[in-house]
Amino acid sequence: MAEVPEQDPNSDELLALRYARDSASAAGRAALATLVERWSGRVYAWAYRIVREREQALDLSQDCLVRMIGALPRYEPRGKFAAWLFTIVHNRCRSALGRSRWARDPDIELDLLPADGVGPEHAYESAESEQRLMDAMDASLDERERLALWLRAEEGMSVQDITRLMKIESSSGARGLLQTARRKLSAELESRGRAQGDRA
Amino acid sequence: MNDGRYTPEALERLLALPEDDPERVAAVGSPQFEAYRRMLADFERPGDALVADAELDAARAELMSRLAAAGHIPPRTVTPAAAPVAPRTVRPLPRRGVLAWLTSGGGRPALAVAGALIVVGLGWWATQRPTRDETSRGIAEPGAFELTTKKQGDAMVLSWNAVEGADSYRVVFLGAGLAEVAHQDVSTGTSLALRAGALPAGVASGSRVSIEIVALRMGGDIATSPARTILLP
Repeated sequence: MAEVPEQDPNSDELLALRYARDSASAAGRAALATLVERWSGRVYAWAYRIVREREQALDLSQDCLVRMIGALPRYEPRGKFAAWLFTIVHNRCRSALGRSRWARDPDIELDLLPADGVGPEHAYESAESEQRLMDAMDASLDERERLALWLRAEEGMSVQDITRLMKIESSSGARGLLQTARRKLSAELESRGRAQGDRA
Repeated sequence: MNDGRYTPEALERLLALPEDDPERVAAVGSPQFEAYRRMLADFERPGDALVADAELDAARAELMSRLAAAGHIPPRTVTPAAAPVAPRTVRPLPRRGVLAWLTSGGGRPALAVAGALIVVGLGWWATQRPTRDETSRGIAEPGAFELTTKKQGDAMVLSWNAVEGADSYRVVFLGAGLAEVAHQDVSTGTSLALRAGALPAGVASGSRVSIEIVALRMGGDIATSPARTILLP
């Protein structure tokens, strides 16, 4: 006998499942349209946060939503639909942006990049292995410093966004935290480099 | 995770694990998990100070339009049918002017020509009109096709808006995962009273089910209402 659990039939997960199971029916198409309408604003807001330009953000959002629609037939609810969608959107935005924007961030240009152009971000890219850098981060940085540096170096978030995401209330925001993390990580990498040189 | 990134499936699954699950406990210590968790919370926030509400609305409309134009989502074309108009009393028109001329002996040739044109027009319509598959199958504007429920005595009465172009409706009973478990067709009107003992096979009296209405035209579905969960009588 049909017994539906206490779940909103118009929840994201069930709408996505409905489209995944029957994309050709009116119900499947309506479910998809509802999902797109429900989430397109937030997809745009995230894309805009990354690229900071309206037309580019619209193009990127459209691409993200097309990818979502393309992936939906394989969708199986494992948890929150939002987490599934966000990962599609953020990974796509990050790929589209590359790392070129980092150099254009005035906060970074003025305060974080060292004079010789070799900072933790550069070291991160040129490190022989990700594990080596992770070890250095674990050894030298506390949890908040690791997170701030990860958001900056790996996720390409602006200093302003990191300040907001981490709910930092000090006047310097995430900038101070990033400067400290940069200094400590540089020292740790330098120390490890010297130790490796001594062994050689 | 791949190249410092979670896959959509991996993050969704990881976040759904109990907090004391060893896999989740191990992930919580990593900066990438915490980064995704915080970014996701930010993504889900309805309001965003960086983008004004008006700009968000405009972006949403633009994206819906682009995706519809590219055929990824259906265009919004289904509109509720106009409210039924009360029948008007037909009064005989006075025979004067053109009407008087048409019905007089001098107007009979004109009537014959008009009749021939109607026959030709009907023939064209029967052979050249768009088939159902060629007909635009859009989705209802928000609020245009709504299901409402009301308890009346021992019955649960479902009612919904008429959809333009629909010639019948199907009341669909949905089980877990929104899979159809039963349906009942309604060929006339836009309401159905559900009573214990007269429910379709597959649904039990006293059970909680989700219900949606599918508008049909010539047997094909043209619109679906949002689903509602009700307790059956």
